[in-house]
Amino acid sequence: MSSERIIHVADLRFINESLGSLRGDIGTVSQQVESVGSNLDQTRNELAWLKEAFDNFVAADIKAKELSLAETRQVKIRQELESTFGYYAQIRRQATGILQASDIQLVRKETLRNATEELMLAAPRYWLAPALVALSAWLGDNRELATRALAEAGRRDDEKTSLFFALIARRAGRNEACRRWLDRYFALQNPYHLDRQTVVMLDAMANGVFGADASMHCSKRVSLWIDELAQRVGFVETQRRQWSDGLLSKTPNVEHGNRYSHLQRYCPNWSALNGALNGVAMHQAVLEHFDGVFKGEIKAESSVLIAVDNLLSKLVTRFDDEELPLRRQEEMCRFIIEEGGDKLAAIKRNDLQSKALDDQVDFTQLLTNAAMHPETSHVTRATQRFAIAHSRDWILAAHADLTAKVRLAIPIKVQITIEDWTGETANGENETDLLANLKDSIAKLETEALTQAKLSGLHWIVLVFGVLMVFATFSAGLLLLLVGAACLTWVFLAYRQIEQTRAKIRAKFATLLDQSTQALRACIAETVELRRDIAKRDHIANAVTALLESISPEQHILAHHDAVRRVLNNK
Amino acid sequence: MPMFSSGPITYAQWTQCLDLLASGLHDDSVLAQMEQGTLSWSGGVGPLFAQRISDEFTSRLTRCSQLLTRDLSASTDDASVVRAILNARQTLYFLHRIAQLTVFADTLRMHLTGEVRKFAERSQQSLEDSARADRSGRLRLLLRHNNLLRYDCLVQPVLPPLPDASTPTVPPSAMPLNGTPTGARHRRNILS
Repeated sequence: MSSERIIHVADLRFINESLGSLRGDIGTVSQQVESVGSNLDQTRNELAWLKEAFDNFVAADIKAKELSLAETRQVKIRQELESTFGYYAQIRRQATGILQASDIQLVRKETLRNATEELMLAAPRYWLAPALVALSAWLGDNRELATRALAEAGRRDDEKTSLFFALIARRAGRNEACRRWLDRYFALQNPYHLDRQTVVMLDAMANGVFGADASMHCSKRVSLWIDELAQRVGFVETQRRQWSDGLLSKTPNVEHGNRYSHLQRYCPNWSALNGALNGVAMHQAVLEHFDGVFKGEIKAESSVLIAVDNLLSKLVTRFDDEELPLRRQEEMCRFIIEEGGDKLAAIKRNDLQSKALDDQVDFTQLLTNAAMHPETSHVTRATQRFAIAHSRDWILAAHADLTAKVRLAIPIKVQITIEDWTGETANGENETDLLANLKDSIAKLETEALTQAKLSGLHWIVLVFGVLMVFATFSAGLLLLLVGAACLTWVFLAYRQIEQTRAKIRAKFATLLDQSTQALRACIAETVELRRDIAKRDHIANAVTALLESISPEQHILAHHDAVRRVLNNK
Repeated sequence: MPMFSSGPITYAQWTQCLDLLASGLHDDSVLAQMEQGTLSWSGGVGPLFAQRISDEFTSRLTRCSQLLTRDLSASTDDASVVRAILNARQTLYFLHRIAQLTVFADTLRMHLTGEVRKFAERSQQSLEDSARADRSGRLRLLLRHNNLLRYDCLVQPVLPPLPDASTPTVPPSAMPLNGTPTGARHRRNILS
């Protein structure tokens, strides 16, 4: 009896301590596991955020460096242009200076002759120096010197010399000489390989600088060139490609993620959608471009002298092929700066516009360059109008092609991925179905997670063992009752723990469902707005077509400076 | 015209409603549909919807202003001035009814109601300022008696019943300008 009492007292203390310790351990372990789990989730989220921030930082850093580099390089290129070809500038300035000085007869002929001869010595390979010597000799009635200087200028650059003297003859009002120089100039031309300075001839024609006779001559020649080019195999395809490139160069490169933030985040094909938005935005840019060209009146220069002087300045300053490599680099730097350091976008733009700085192009490409890239081709608005009017049918065809291509590139389905759920919609019409599907998906995940949170095999064994021990108490004594009670208590604690876990799982999935539903609704709303946006921008294509169809070539040649009436023949 | 059995629910359906509203062809039916609709004002949806409805309000108020200006400048007598004001008031009343829809969030409702009120106040003030040039004071009196700000006191117009062979239909011209069917006989005016 006494031994039973001793065992009873000793066992009670031990079991109580064990139970308390066990409860404490389970609680501690459970808290630690929860803490580790939440820390892991937080760390994962922070890592994802950090990665995104780092990627953004790297992209911004690269852009900033490219921008800074392009700005520095642009300055260097301009300095190099100045140092390498700077001495041409003095000669160029004298071209119109000599003409204006002789107009008002303020400079002696000897001074003109001496000045031009000095220029001849300063610029050994430059075509303009002998041309100016010829000009001063002509002004000084020195036929022999003029002939020799002209021969040298022609040898150095026959095309530019012919065009230069055609303009000078026009300035002097010698129409017959102008026509002969133009004949010579045209005889040198191959419509498949034209030099860039041909736009000066177009400028003169479009601005009504040439007389009626010369202007008609140019018009006929332009028509002949176009006819000749049109007979080439694949001409129409080439035109469409050229104009498609020209129109595509107007496509903006904008990130629309600010307006459609949820689609940017949850839509795997967001880049295609953003590209489609930029693609259809091209219509607005093209419309603005053409509208800007055709809007308003172009005021002609007050006299033919000013108009010719402007053209002469342009001819002698803008079209020297020696400068072209540096000019191309300068243009590339300009694109990088305009794109805010985005080199890929700049390269893409440069690829589309590079033909504007080619040594030689065919006549239709020349028209394309004049129409679409006036800042690189150095043409006036009148020439732009003329070029667009002459290319109207090709532009219409290219624009129709491009419109179809842009429409094809619009993704039919917008994919949405929220956590592990994936769905797709075309126009947001299946919002109810998608919401139900998302709800089902999350409910399924919740069920799976709840299924995992259950009593394990060990728990069941201990439970059965505990029950058996309790029943065995009747035959084997109080010790087994205590063992059984301990087992049952342990199982009960584990069960309570699991219940708490299940409650947390339910709360977690309720939050997930709420957040996912909100995200899905936002994605659907943005999809609807995106489709409206695309449709609205795409609709502008009709306005572009209407504008182009209203243009005719004959309307876009300015009146001549001569008092001659122009009669249009519509046949 | 799309008809939803229990009003628009999804954003796409709301968009169809707003497009119809923008067309201006089925205003009353669209409003009836919107009254029955529901919309979730979650983070991503609310701003987009608010932008759409605000754009529609701006467009309607601009049009209302233009019409009022045109009608007033073309008015030759008191009746045409009153008619111009009543037309504007009718437009404001319709917008007021839209702004009061319970389906909208409180902030949006307050914003839209405020926009309509501000427009009415500005227009009334502008009309009264321009009436000062009229020395007879007649125009000022007319404007005071037909105050633009009383747009919210109008009664909802009764929609014409569906055509039925047994009941004769009332032509729209027989409806009064403020949309209130009075049922009383009008006094005949004999113009000299």
